[in-house]
Amino acid sequence: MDVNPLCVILVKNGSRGDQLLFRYPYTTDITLHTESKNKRPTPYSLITEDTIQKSQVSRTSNIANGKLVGFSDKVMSNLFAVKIELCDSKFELKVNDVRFVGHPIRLNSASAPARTKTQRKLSSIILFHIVFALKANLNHDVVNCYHDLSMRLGLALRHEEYRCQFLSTQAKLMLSAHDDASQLPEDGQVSPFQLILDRSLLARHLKQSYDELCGSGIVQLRVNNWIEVSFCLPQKVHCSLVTGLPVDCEGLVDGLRNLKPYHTFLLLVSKADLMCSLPPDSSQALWRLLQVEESHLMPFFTLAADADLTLNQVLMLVGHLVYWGKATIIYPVCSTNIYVLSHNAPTILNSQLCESFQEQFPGSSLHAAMAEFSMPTSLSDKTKPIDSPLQQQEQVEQIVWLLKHGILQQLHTYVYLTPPPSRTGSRELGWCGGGQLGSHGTSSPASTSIHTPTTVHEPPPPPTPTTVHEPSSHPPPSSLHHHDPLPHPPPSSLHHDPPPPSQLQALHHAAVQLSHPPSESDLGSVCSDERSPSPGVTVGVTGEDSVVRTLDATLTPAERELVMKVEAACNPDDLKLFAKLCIYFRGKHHLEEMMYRVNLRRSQLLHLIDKFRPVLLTCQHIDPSITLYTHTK
Amino acid sequence: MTEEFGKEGPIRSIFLSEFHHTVGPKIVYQYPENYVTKEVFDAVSYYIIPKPEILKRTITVNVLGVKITGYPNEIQNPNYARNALIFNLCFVCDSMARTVHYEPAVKKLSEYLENLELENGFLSDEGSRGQMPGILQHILEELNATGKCTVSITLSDQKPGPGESERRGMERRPSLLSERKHQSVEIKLYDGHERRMSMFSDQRQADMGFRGFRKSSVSESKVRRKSADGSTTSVLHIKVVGVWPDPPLVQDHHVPVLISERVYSRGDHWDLTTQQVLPYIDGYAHVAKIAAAADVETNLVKACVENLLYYGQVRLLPIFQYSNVYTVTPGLQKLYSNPCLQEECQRAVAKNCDPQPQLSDILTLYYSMTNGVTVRDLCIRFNPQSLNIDERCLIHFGLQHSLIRRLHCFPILVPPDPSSSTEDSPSHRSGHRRSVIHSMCNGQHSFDEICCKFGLTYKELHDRVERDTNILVLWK
Repeated sequence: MDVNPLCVILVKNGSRGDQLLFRYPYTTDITLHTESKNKRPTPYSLITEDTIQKSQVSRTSNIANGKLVGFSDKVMSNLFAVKIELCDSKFELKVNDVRFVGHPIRLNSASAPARTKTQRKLSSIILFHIVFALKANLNHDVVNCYHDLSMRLGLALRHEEYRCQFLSTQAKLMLSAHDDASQLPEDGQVSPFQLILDRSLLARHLKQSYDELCGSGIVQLRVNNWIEVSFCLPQKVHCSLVTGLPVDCEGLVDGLRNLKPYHTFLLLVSKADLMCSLPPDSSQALWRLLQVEESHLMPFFTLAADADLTLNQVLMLVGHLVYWGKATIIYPVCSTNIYVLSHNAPTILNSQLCESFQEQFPGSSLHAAMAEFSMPTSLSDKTKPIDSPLQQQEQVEQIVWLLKHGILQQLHTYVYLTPPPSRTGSRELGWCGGGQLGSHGTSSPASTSIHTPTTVHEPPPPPTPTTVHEPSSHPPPSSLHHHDPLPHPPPSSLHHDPPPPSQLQALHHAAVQLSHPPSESDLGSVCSDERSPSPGVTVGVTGEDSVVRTLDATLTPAERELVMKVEAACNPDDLKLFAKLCIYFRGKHHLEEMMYRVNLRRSQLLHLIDKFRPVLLTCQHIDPSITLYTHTK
Repeated sequence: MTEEFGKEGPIRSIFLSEFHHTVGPKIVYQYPENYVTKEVFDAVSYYIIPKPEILKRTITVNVLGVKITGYPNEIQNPNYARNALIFNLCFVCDSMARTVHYEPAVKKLSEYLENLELENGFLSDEGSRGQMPGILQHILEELNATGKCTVSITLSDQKPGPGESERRGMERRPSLLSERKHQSVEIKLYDGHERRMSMFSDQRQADMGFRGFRKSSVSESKVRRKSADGSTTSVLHIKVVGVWPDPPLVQDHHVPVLISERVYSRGDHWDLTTQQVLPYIDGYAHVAKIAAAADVETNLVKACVENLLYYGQVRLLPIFQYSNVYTVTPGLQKLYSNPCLQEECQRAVAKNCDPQPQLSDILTLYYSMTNGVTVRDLCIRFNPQSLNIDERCLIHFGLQHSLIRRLHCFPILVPPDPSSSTEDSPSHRSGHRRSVIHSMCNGQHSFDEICCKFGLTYKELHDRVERDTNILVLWK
């Protein structure tokens, strides 16, 4: 969507009434003139009352050729020189298909600092208003950004007015230009705005901001060569990146909150350019961060250490870089990363992209490089042992180039625990993932039928009074490892006095242990139609409580039983590691995240997954947290 | 903040304001009373009763926590004090709410009042305009509850006879009626029994881009005469139709899938072409096939489907073929953690109702979808039929819930060598004859499009592309 402004307008209201000081672009009058002329069918046709009325009534659009039309200066100054009540807040007005947004700013108000108030003579301007005319169908997100810009410019102007009457002098210049233009002879007429543009610095500021908004989407102004106003229209900046996808401001900010310490950033512009564009008083921390070489190869936490910054600082700085369209977020480039063509990769032939690729890598074609990634490919797949280091280096550079241009995306492996088979005839036995658990009552006479409280099985179970109430209805902890002969002990008979709060934790553990089968028959009870002896039995007896407890906390009994049937579960070490990892086997964490969280090597992790392959499913997809564009609404 | 930005919200208040000849702009009637206070109204009165240059256009002002949409209207006549009657009927919403969809209704109401005033002096007559508060309340409540409303207004009930009232109206403002002919106000007199007035407000907003089969947001208004008590009743129908972004372009190879049951319950409300096309939208036939089967021109079918898309009745999916390749999306996580979706999925993909397919089998099939694995490969590897899974339903379900997405194949004709890469000459490399498909191998067209265009099967096209050394294949 085209987010360019149609027009920027400066209006003031003062002792001499409301006046439109400047607007840019100002050339619309001529086109409007010819248009209305063309409405007469022939030069000889009479202008009747009827035709005049028609042209007045039938106006439903105020946009022509991407310019604002149909508003005279007087009407605009009337509309935007708002009443005092509307000052210093957002102003939004929609007429037909044009939306005006601005932030009227009042001068001489009580909010002005007292000291400056006494020093300067009061100016005749009561309020001024910088208005942007936009297409009405633009997203509210864009409208808010323009409001923000209007406010920033307004505040800077107010400061300059209080400091050195910048606005008053500029307004005088503009008004005199208006007068001069009207006094010029008919044939030598110049637009007053042309005169203003020649004479006034403020007008040039507004023109510059309009031009920059239409161009790069980033406005960098130094109002009156004194106050820096910088503004970024993310919707525009990110659209002009090669990926060309619309983003919205809120989504972008949300996405940046999800950054993980193992991610890193990839600069989209050259480091030298970025350094040059930074203002002289920019943050030293940013300089230090940018000084780190090969930053796309190392994760944030390493970067933080190298640049001697805290991780939070690094994340904030990177957030800025991403917002301003200078960087994107990736997982650090390494040989095990699997890349594939992005869904949005531009495939069109003879695009500018091809040329710049060829410039960068002479002798190779973009589409050939892309074709290699039609199938998921990792860097290690691509490199052949006979390749020279130089060739390998070039391959890395190619991948980085493709990543920068959004042509590649990385696939991550996610691991899921196989859902246990659901049994026929009993709907409520249906399995549900995410650690939630239905009742698992069975009909086996040998069963203990312990009602496992559902809340206990959620991964981080804080023992709240409600969760404890149910465990308390079970046999006391001392009888835990005995086979309870009663199939359904009446809860009331077992209701002991309520436990004091200090015992809550202990009780919770007890409850967790309860759901673990201490004997063979108990195990069978969990899954009534499977009575085969399970190797997992030994675990309970050996007293490896912590392993068992973690397994219990994260898995449903049916799942646990499946896990226990796997051969590798006999090995206590493997089982221990599995228990540690199994909260990550719900498809919410990819391998790299597991490696980071549990501090494991990839080979160890893959080995474990292989061992437990019968109960694990894997699939590969992109990491939704780093594709910032998925956060658009 | 009661509503999120850009969400449609209820109308909070409706008011009628006018330019009073002595006190200036004022609110005449408002329902509920004082929702827009006098202070707020005074601050925005510029935009409610504006300068003559910007009369007769939809104006929305969003300040001070209210969003007011109006259509300031003016009737010029020397009989009025200050020679003109300027009035504006405004809808008020929360400042965060979206109001575009109310604009046609506001405009319609304003023009309707204008006509009532021209004919009967409805607004300038103290007696008749006493009905306005009730009308405003009725409109607000009905529009908020159902999105449409019917207003009946009793006109000139004190007038002794129809002929006289008519004459009176004509006498009072004879010039007005003649001036206003271009407004397409049409009055027929049926021997004093029925009078009909039709108005058109088809000047749609430019931002309501889609001009397909969408029904006009405001239906025709009617004025009927009831001869029993000698008064005239005017009836106006208003309907608010949401404004959504334009539907995507429908192409020959797209498959429309009904996602709403309502489409049938509406029955004959659809236009004739849609009624003819609807039975053929079975979720598997693509647009070109539907056109052939329904004996309707392809472009008409596309227009119908676009219309249904606009109303959220159908979804476009890629065509199902055993040669298709799908890949999982992050959305698949939902299926693993959401029991309701699992239940729905098991029901949807089951070949026979009993026994239900195992969830683990369904997940295994989904997880195995990746680049390079066609549906045929999946069938050979897992034999879904034996697992009581219908692979077509599986793919459908996955696409509909964005669990998986189709990978499209784009053939690309490589330029011969870097030096001449800028020219677009497909007949390079002398040994190769120019093939018809080369014209579409520029990276913009997927296999589906090319197959549809040249009437090739996937296999034929695939073989041709395989044989042609100049063509690269990109999957994305």
